[in-house]
Amino acid sequence: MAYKDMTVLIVDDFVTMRRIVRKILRDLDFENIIEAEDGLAALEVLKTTKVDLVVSDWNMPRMTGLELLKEVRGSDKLKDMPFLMVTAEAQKENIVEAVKAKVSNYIVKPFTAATLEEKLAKIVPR
Amino acid sequence: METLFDRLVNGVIDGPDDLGGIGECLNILDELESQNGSAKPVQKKIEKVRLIFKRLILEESSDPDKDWRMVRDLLSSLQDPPGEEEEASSQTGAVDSGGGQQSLGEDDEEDFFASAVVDSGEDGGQSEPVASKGGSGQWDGESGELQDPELLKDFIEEAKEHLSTIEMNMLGLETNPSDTEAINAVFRPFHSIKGVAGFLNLFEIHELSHEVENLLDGARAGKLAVTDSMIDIVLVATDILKGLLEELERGGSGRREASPAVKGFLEKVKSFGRDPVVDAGIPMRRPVGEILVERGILDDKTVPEIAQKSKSGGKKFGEAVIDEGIASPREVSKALREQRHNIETAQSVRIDTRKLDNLVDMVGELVIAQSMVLQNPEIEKAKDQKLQKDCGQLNRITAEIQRITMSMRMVPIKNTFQKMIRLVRDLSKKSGKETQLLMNGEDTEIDRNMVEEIYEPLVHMIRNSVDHGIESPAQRVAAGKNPTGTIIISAEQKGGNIAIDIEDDGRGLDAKRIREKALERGIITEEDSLDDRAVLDLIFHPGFSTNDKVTEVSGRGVGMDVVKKCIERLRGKIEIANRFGQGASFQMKLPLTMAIIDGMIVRIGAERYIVPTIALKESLKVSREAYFTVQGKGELVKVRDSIMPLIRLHNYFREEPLHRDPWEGLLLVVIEGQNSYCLLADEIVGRQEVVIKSLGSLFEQLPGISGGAILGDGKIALIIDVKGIISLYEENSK
Repeated sequence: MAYKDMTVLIVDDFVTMRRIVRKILRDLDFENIIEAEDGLAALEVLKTTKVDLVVSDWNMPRMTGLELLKEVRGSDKLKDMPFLMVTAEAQKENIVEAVKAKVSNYIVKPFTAATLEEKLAKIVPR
Repeated sequence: METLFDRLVNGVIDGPDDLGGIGECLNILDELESQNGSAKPVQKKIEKVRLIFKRLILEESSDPDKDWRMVRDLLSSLQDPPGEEEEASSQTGAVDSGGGQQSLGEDDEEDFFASAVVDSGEDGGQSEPVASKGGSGQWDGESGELQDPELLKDFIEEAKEHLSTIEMNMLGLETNPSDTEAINAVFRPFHSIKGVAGFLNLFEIHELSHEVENLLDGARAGKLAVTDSMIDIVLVATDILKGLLEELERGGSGRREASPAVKGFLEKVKSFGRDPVVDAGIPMRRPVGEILVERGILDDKTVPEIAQKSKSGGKKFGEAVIDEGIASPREVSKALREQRHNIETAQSVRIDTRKLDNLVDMVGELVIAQSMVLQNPEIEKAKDQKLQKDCGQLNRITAEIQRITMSMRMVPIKNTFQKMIRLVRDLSKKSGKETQLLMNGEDTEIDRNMVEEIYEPLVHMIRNSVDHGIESPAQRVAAGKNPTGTIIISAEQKGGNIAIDIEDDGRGLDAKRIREKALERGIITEEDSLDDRAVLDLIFHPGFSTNDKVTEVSGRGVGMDVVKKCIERLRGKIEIANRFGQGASFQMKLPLTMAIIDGMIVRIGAERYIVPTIALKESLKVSREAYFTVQGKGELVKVRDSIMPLIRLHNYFREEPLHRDPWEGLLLVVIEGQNSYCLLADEIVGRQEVVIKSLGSLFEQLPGISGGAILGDGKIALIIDVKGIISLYEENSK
């Protein structure tokens, strides 16, 4: 599927960060971009909307990215969802936990459109 | 077990790139280990596989293909019978290699361990710059859009907002240092700020938030204790960050290198975890007996008796009290907690409150005067680095002075709460009921002027609870309840507000009877269809009282309307939560202080106005399609699924707006009672805590305006009274 036909869900509690990720995704020709402010809000979106890719931050109030990932993988409907975790250099080690929980891939902040594209190529069939 | 091995070896993983497969494999290894905890060589191998996997996952492997081969060999060797395992490992001595791995040869073996050691050391440091170099290298091409001034502006706003929650949470940590959720709540904003700063190339902010984040991460993991000095460091860092953000706001560019002041502080943060921290000595403890007497659980006479018993029985005082059945374990543990808390409280000096109020006023003026100087065009134009830096320093100091002065006015709500104990006791006695009063969060602090203001509403509500809520012991027993009724008052700080709950386990509010009464009194008509919440809200209507009897304590119609008015005068809110038959709870939300409000500054035409943030649900821009007019209902706006009336603020203040079209301007969504409204302004200027100034008696009754405040540039902005504006609107549309 071409990026422009895919629906991406950005999950981050920081509005500015969501806008940055949105900009970078736009650069890669993504057009359908939805935002959620934490894991719980993301689950609500996933319940009602068909999403093709989740780009989620790790540390959020109410429900973290890891908890969201586990919910997604535990759901029959969503378990194959491409799920990209955004992490900080200092918290990179935690990614092993996310890998165990079947994260599709991860990306370290700050990242560029090129790095993101590289990661997406690994997890989203085009 | 067999099947696990089969799954492991028969290609769960596609290759070093297959994170999903690696995850699956790691999970199988965990499972294997838990089943097979005894065999050491197996465990060692599993450890080794984990190490390589980690390297592959973190992209720190120097040769992924080689690592991949090694993992495959290790995995297949895991399947070998345990006997051979032992042999193989004893042959190679300390270095544990599986049968399969020998095929890799000596070099590989050494190489593997060499890189494994490096992995935890220099290698981590090596790979990091590579990653970030890649980032900043390609950045320049895109920096055009990431240096988007609007993005930067929004980031500053958002970061400031998050920093203010840090302060609140830090103060909470001061009373309860082990509250992990609070540590997390402080950690998160630093983490997010760091993340965005990385994208926006804001070096100083990035570095500073990074170091503080590390510090807090240590606290989160339990490696560092949350001490007073740590709290101080985080608070200072918060102030410095605020200063840096303000510098950015004034057009600073976010230096590539930390300024000396920030550098010094960074060093301090970095060394924090290393230096042992010695906490101050132990002050005198207050006896538990004394605390229990103060709470009315013990009386003076019984204290020596119990002290005697506790001595002869070799028990602690608290235990003796419980044994005697005088106090519940819960009450004693609360007293013990208070005892501990008191140890932490510092010594105090009495100060005339007028002096304190003067000081607060003068600090307010100082902050304003400072902003006037700093926002003077001459100063803003100045290119002098030193001047810029000194201004930043001045800013930080005044902010700290302001914080300290405000905190000097804060007193625990405990004294007010404790007055209620007596009240409940007296009321219960008079009405022949049995009621106990429990308290939570009595250490929550509130402006001392507010304390006096909330006393009356509290008394009213407690009276109502005892008189109308709690049933007689006979009625309670008949309803299957404990004959003793319970009232719980609790206080909690939430952001810049204090939430006070009064909860009882009495009969609750009877919606049916309230409706009947309201009909009887002509407050509503038969045609009015109201949901339960709206019916409950009727008790706030003037002159409403469901209790038929005029009692000595409550009188008739010492209504909730008085309470509501009083709370609204304090710019607060009150809500009811009701479980009919099970009890009712009243929740008050009040600002922590009367002197300052958190306000959104908006522009309407040429003037700026302040909307109290507590009244705001959200602010947004809408598309042209969301706006429409309906005959008889005027202008409406659709926000998501709800339709709400549009109120043009410029009409009320006779301003010539920049935008007449609602989709051009800014909409502020506010809630009043059951309804939402959209207020139309031109744009948001910023969010700021402002010191409220009275407009004097002449303008006191001005509808729609609740006061004024002096902004940073010395100009006056009026504070909008949202409730007033809405009632004006409702009157006009009738």
